[in-house]
Amino acid sequence: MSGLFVISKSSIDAFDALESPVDPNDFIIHSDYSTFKILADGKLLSQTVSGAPTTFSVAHGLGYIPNFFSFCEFPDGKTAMNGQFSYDFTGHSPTVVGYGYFLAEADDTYLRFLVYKNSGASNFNVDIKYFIFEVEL
Amino acid sequence: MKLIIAKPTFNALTETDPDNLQFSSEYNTLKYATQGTIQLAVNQATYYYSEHIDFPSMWLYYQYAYTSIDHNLGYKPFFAGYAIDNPTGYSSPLPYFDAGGGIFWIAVNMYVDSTKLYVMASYVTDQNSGTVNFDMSYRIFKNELDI
Repeated sequence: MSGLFVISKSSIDAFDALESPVDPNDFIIHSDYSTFKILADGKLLSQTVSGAPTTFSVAHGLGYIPNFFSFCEFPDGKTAMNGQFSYDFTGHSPTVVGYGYFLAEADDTYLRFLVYKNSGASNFNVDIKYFIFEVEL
Repeated sequence: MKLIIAKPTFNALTETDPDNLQFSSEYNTLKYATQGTIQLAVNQATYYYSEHIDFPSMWLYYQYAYTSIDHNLGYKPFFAGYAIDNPTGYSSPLPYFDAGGGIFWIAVNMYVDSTKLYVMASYVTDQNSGTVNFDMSYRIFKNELDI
């Protein structure tokens, strides 16, 4: 049996919005379109960064390389995405300002988070958050 | 109680693989809070560092600028960003790191805290005057990072 399940956005009539052409942006849920499901999330708090890099690992246990997003909060209070320098980073020789760089990677067993401490920084702590979404890479 | 919508040919009563479901109330999803665009203008006369290199003989100017918008959620949200028509002529998801178009390297990044979304551009060029504009598009979700 097939059918249609929709919840339209407020102020949009679901029946009107279903008339062709259908705009999926008119709907909170539309059963013709898959949602981007979050399978798991987690965080690593107050992790000490002492090297370049310091690596933190989480076993995800999925048996495949997952679709994931991650974020890292540096001591400057700004939360960075994967692949970013800390907010106040300005790099040039001989002086580098800022804490470092955040990089995340995965295989079919682990998520690994690499935080690079720049040569001028003392050890510092970071908080890391990750989300694992459906559909393997 | 659960709400499950299976993909065509799958049975919603028995299917457990989330990849075979259009929707399942057992899984959280990203929920939009807001979206928009931000323009960051870099005044290249305000470079923070310069150095002369010998091969080829030229001056390099290190540029760094940032701006922010208020999101006022009171917590750090899940976010995503894109550089639109960046200096090398393309659009890219952030973070963006590249070289070209008279720029030796460039990094465009996006950050959040509990009140603001920040964008930062850092690059090295042989130019020390004029203004370079960066257009960014962002998506902020209601999902809390909780860190």
